[in-house]
Amino acid sequence: MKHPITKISAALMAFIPLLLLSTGIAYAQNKISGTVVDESGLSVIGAGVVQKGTTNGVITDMDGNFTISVPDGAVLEFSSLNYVTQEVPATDGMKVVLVESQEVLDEIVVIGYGVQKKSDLTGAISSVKENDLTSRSVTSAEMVLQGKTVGVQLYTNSAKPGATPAVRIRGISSNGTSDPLYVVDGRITNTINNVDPNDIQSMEVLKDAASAAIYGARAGNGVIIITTKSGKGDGKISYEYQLTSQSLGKIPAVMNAQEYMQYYKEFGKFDDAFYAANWDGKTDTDWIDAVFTNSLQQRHKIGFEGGNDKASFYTSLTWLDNNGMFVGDADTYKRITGMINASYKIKQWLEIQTNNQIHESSIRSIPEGDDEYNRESNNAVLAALQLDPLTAVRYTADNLPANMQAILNDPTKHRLMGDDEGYYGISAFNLNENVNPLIHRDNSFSEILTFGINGTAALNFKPVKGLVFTSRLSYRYSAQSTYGYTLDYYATDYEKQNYVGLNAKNNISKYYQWENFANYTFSLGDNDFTLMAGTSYSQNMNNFVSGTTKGSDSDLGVLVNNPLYYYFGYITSTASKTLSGGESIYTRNNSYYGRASWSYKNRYIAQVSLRADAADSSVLPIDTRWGYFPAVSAGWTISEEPFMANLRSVIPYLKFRASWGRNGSTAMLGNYMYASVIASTGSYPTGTNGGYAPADAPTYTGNDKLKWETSEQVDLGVDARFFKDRLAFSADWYRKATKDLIVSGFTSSNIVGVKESPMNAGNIENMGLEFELGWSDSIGEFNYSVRGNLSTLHNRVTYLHPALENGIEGVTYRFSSITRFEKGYPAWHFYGYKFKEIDSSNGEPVFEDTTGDNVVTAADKCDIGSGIPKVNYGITLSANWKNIDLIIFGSGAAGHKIFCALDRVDYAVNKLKFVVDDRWTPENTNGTRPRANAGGYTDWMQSSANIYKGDFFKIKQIQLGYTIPEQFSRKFKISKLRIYASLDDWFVFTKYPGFDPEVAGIGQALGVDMGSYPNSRKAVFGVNLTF
Amino acid sequence: MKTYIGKIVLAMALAFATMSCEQKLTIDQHGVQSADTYYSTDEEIETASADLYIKMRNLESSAIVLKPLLDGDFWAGGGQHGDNSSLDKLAEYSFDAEDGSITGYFKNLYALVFSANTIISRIDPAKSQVATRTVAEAKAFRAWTYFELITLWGNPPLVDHPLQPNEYKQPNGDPAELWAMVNKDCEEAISSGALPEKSDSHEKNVWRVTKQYAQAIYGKALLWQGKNAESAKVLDEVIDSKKYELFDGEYGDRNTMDNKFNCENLFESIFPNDPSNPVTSFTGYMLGWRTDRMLASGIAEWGIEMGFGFVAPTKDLYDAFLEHDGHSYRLQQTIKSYDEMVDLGLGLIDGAVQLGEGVYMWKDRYTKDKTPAMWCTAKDYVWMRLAEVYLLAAEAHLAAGNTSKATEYVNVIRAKAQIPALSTVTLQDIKDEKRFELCREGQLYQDLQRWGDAEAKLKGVGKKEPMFHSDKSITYFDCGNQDDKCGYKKGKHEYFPYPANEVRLNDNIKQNPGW
Repeated sequence: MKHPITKISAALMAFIPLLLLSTGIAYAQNKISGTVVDESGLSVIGAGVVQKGTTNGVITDMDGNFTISVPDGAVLEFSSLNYVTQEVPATDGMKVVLVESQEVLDEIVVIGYGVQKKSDLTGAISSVKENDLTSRSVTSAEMVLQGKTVGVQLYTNSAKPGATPAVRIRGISSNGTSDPLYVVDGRITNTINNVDPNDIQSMEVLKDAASAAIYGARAGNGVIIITTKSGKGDGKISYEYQLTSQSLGKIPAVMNAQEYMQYYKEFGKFDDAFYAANWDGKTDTDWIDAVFTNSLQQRHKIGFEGGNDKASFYTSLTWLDNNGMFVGDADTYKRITGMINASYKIKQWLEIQTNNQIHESSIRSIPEGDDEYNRESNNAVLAALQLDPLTAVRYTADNLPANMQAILNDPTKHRLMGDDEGYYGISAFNLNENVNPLIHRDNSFSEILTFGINGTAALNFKPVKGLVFTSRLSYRYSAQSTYGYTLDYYATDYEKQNYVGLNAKNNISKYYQWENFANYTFSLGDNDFTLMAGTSYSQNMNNFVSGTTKGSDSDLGVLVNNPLYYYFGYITSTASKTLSGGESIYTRNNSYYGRASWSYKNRYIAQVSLRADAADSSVLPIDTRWGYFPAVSAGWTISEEPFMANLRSVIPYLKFRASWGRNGSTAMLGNYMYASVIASTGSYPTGTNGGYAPADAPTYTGNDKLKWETSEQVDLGVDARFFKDRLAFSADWYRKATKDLIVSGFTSSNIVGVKESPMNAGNIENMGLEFELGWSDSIGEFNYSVRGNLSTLHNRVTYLHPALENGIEGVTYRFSSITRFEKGYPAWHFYGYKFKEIDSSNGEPVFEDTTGDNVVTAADKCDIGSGIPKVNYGITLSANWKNIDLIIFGSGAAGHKIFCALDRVDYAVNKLKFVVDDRWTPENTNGTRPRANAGGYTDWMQSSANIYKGDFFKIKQIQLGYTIPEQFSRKFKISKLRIYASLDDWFVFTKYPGFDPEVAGIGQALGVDMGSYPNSRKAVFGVNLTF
Repeated sequence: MKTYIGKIVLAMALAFATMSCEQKLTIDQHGVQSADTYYSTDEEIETASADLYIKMRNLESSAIVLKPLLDGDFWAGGGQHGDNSSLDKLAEYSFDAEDGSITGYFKNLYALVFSANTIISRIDPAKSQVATRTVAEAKAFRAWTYFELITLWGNPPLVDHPLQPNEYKQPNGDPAELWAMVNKDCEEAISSGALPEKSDSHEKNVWRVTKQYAQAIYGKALLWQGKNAESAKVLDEVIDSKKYELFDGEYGDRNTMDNKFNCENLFESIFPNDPSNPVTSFTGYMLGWRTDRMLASGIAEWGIEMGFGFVAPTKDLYDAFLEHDGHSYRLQQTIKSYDEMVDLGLGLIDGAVQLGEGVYMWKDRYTKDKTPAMWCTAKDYVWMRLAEVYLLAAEAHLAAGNTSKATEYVNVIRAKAQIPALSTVTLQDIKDEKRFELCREGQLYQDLQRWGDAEAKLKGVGKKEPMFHSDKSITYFDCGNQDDKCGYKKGKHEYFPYPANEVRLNDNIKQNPGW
């Protein structure tokens, strides 16, 4: 039976060899015959035999035999897929033994509910292997993906200890959450921050829809499969230690005391008399320098492993302690992770396997305004940028400035904060919500303690050859307690509290997932098949109890103002209390899935899959609960075609891939958002008697047609290797269209009078190209490799319901939203006035009149850029010579903007120098920045003038390692001892004037820098020992 | 081979073990009730009634900011021009159909209509006493809401039942039909016999819509319809019921936290002074004096939380008040001059500048003893008080030819203000009385439109804004508006624009002229 693809290839075949084999033969020719076999003596069919340096070539027949005419002294190159290419001088009757290429053949890629040889892949899957994970100073597995995988973008909201970046695979595919799905050893999860990167064997990113479709309704934002380590070889004990010194990398320049005073004098806010009365004449505080300091991160890991063909065992314990750069110990991340992975073949037909992780962590953070919508107040990092340089960090009691003395003298205020070295300085100039960062640090306490245990237990049951039934139970238990208090203190009228407030929350979450599936592999002639079918059921239960208490102006709220009393048991009887939770909230899922793969002589590969998913009634109405997610893909390894045989010395491997699939996303669903029900609208006081009447009403219109967000993606790819596999190249083009985006807060008409339930009301498209290029070679004992990747991203909102014609407003900066989700633009593009120039007559900013009506109004606001990089890239150089190894790794992004939202006009905040240098003054009428106190300053802040190029390149790692020669380490019973030193995140190349171009918001605030905790630069020292 | 079969059966059993789990996917929602069966018990009906009051309270911030800004007696206020540009635009008459305050008010009014319609269509008034009362309340609320909609937008869509998705695109209403619905709702609410009444004017426990409040709404609506004699008759019933009398305490303290449910208030939205159940309202901060420019000693002495100083009175208002009243008790209790503020310790910081002309609202002050602000604005919002009823009735009587009754009513107000009585009143006297007595209470804007006085008063506003300096000098900031972009325009500003998004979404609605 001839497959259609074979017919097509036959037609191509007729043409290509003609071209390739048309070289004339001018020399005396010898007819050479020979055989090609593999290491076990079996003939290698279809191997390429080419005269070196020419296009003269043949392929071996069914018995591995070939015959070729070559001139005297010719050298023949023998190549075949999965074998190392060899060069052998031509002699008649030669027998060539091809050695299997370990690197290529062994590369097994984990796909959903099975594994596949990399050479059989038809989808776009990026892998991160162990090598990319070792000796990194990163604390979470997500961070490893950056720059190492193509088509994966990381967006960081805050780089505080314990924070993890948001991972986006092939763009932003929702107006809401577009986090990928994580699958850890088969367990489906939303987070991997409890897996230590050092325990990971490999990470596979299923980017194309066909690969991800086996995870159906939750795969719409891509899938990341994580395989943890398993024991191998003879018993080994390993110990790793890593010490990281962290410091602030990029420091933005702000005004110094003289510049500040000059600016606000021009502004008219303060005059010389005011400065004289409130400034000591010498203080010039660099707040950034005062609050960020060098700090340490330490990591110890001890591991035991071993394995043979029956059993394997891996266990490790890792202790991580990261004290953040903010001065003091208020920002810390401590984590202990343990892992126990074991498998055992009980019978020939039965294997049991279990992987388990246990983790405990504690996170303490400084206030950063908590969420992206509220970053402008109580933000210790922003405060460091905004506080005036005229105020000192601390003042001693006998040396207080007048404003602080006045506070101290006022019996209603008097509660200044401070420490052993004095009172924390309070500005007489800048009285906004952001005060001395040390006050933000010390006026509250919060700690999140997490304990969790999760893993899988599986039975692999092999009743007949080729058939494996797997029954796998995955589980997760996690308990989290959050505890915090806010203190009685006074800084300004905005930043003060007259009582002690307490909050605590205990949350437990239990998840299990039971999956049963079978893989059946068989061959019919040259056709290889793998069939897979299975079912899955999962349940998550979440239950929390949360409470808060607080006092009032006349009630401290706790019995004694002492941390020993900051617990619910010791509150005053008059303290007000809130209580919530106590209910078990369940979500459940039921699914069926199947996949069929076919391959013919490694040349033609095709795969189809289908998953059906049902969501529970908290997610979708019963009528729309089932979703169906099909996928098809095909591959053509053209290098396996006979007519390509004589090119194999140049192109040993060349494959074309194409795939299409449909995925879903439920991330935006849940909590019965489709339902029309009667719910509480509050309670209304019944007069002056203190009673309340509960109020209920229909709260939503209801939408019984609500369904999943679905995305369809086409992927075309090519994989190739050249020059004896030294050069590897792959490229992909994809187009991912996501439709039925779930939009809340929607209005079809203001007259309806009740909130409309969320609707499927938008489409978004992501399109891009991805390239990966790798070169590895050796020169004597010097081995080196260079790997680079680059991806482009084109993101557009392609449709929004007519009710949303003006787009969905996003993050607010000084009372106006500056991002929008709008048809025809990238997701959450920047929206504001287009800055034209500074009016040289008065220093006022002038904006483009985009509507052409001769007046600039809010209607002239328009698209002013996007925070989504058009290009992401990464490059890794690694080399080793004898016992020395070197890794240089960098990554970058380009083609995007950052909205620098660090300013305000209503208070005398310090400003980036960039913003005030070259401002208009009567002497500098050609200034390019507005005059101080310009009437249009707020509009200017929200205009394109504060949008900067976000392009950056960061050298993430420069690591030099040295392995002690074995003859020395042996003496100490050490089989391997490697020491290394590394500079991580050390060099940053960017024109962005703020802190860190990598930390610029996620979600609605994508690309908006509102003053978040920046990444540190790190000097790392480490030692790895194996016994 | 047999062993294989056993193993396969086992494996199959495992593989399909999860297939029967679908029924577990139905999970009941907590904390809600089915819309199909609700409203069957008195307890449930009471919750629907309480919802009306909450929806009404949600309108407070629009009423207290939006309408005063448009009546020409107030500057947008704040720290400087641009502090809140949407308020600037209202005061300057440069706002457009995108305006958030107008859109918000329109939307919230229809939210109250929805709650009323849900009750009227779902609850059979004959079912119980509670049902009768709740339906009567819903009708009174719907009548008031449509009074606002008609007087502000002219021909808003008539919606008398909860809409189905295919009914969302409603056309403009016919004003005659709309007024007919208002009248019918009022009559039915009043005649239901179910609305409570106070036992006497000092009773403080009646917080619901009373029969008299429904009558006052009706009387007001009739006046707007030009049915003067009918209006006078209904309003007289309110006055003659003696269930209300003018506030008997210090004039400037009428609307403070301690004087909730005082003898004058016909209807108020309750903002409790209950830190454990705070009602978030920003109006206390918005309207309070601009604290960051004031002497800290004064702020401390008067216990002021924080204020942004929006909706600041104009000097014109103060001067007209002074001319009308003299330096009367009422004027001193309503607005303070800068010198009076300085005497109270409430002056500006040396060198400070703030938007305004150095006159300050006193009767609506947000000082800690009178009205703690801090998110929960603990003073009620009074939607209607007896002084307004007197003045509405006076106008109705005057128009109906009963000048002596009109004069009597106006003189009741003037006596409280401690200014001399008039021998006979003119319409202009009533207009002036209303402007000063109900200053910044949000009633004047609709009157100006009804009297046809809006154009004369508001033409050409919006060119400049005053900055008051601590040395008492006033400078004017050029708002940068061209003539055609600000000020009242005849043929346009008689009505609010329908929200721009409504016109975009609803092709059956026709935008008002000029917008």
